[in-house]
Amino acid sequence: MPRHSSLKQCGPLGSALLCLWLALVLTPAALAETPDEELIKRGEYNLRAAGCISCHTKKEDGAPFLAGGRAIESPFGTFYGPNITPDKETGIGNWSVDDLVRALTEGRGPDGRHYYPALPYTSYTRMKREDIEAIWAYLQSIEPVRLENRPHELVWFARFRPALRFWNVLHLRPGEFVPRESESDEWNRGAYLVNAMAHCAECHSPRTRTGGLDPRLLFAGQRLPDGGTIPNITPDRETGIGRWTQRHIVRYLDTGMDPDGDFAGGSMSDVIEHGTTHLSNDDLRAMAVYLMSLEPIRHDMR
Amino acid sequence: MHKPIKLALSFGIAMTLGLGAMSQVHAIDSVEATVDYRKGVMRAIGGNTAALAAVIVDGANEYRDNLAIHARYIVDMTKDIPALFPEGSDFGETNALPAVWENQERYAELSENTHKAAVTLLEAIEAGEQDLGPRFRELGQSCRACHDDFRQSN
Repeated sequence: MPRHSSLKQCGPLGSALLCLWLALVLTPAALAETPDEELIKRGEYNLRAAGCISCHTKKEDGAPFLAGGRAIESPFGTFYGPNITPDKETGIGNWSVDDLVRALTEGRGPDGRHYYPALPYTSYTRMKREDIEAIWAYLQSIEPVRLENRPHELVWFARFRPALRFWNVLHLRPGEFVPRESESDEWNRGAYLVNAMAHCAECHSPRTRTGGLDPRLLFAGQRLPDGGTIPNITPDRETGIGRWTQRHIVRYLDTGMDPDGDFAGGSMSDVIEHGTTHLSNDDLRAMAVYLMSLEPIRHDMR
Repeated sequence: MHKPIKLALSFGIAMTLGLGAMSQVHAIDSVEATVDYRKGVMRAIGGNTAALAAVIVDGANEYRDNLAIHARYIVDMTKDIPALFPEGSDFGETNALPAVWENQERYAELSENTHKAAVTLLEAIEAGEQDLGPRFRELGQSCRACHDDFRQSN
């Protein structure tokens, strides 16, 4: 055992110095190879809060987790959620953490091309970098799945990606969430979760002709091209959720049940099952506090 | 043609058309009643589920003795959910999607899951289990699974 003998020859001071050297030299590499379990756990929590699973996992029994293929219908055609497993050929295995930050906050791919706003980067741009880094750590930890992305099927005028630069000028306001000092920590946490992570307004608001959120009707619900409706979640008593209590909102986000005992279906059921039901009660309460503080908007979706 | 015969013929045609129209109106009324019944049952299932949640999830423990009543209603009324959706009742003010009638096998399977979840919850209540939350969640999940593809989103 020559290595042992040489260590012994170094004496206590030598061993201590060697340990210090090993710690300095090896720790960053070790961290890069095996990200902290706590960080991964936080990343999964953030990923669920951000609703990633609903769009990046195909809706069928046994579909490979986060390997894409989910159809997302829109007035501009059908988008297909891409593979975000760490597969190097078909997923995001060759990305860096900065690539993910740029995708989520600027809507740009590693090659600089623009993503369609079916990826809600206009909301994710409010996410804290540390929360995205945690998501990155989690995505690195999951099983890579080799599955080619399905091309989007869009109307002709939506296929020209460079036009998204102009769309971004109109609708993207980059920048992290800034807490309001006048509001409580709980309100600010709720505002962050609702706006930056869960991106509730993206579905619960009608869109303008250019495809941006209608600023006069944020959270006031919208009609879908298939005839379905997405409800008004402002606290208007007649057309929104103004008769719901904080407890009702928490229970809805946790179990999918409204105050009448009816259960959510469709895309909201996915949001709950893969997302909000996994959030802590404190976070659900914070979301309820924020939603109840919104300006009531009369906008009947029934 | 003689006048009396002409009159009799006209009267006969009018009666036939009238009776046909009446029976059609009756058929429409009957389908509407079927849809009304279905909606009433679904609302009642919702009401009983809301009552269960108030006790199990939110702790209205003064009504704990009533849990079995609410769960039993759901067990009874979910025994044959597809029977609430007979052919031809995709009519009027219904939130049921055409998939209910187009994919009957899957619909029956998911309905059966809801019934089983309700039976499991009732058994747990009758056995005096204290933590009924997981059983209630399973029931809720089964409802959501069905609403996912078979009911208009709202």
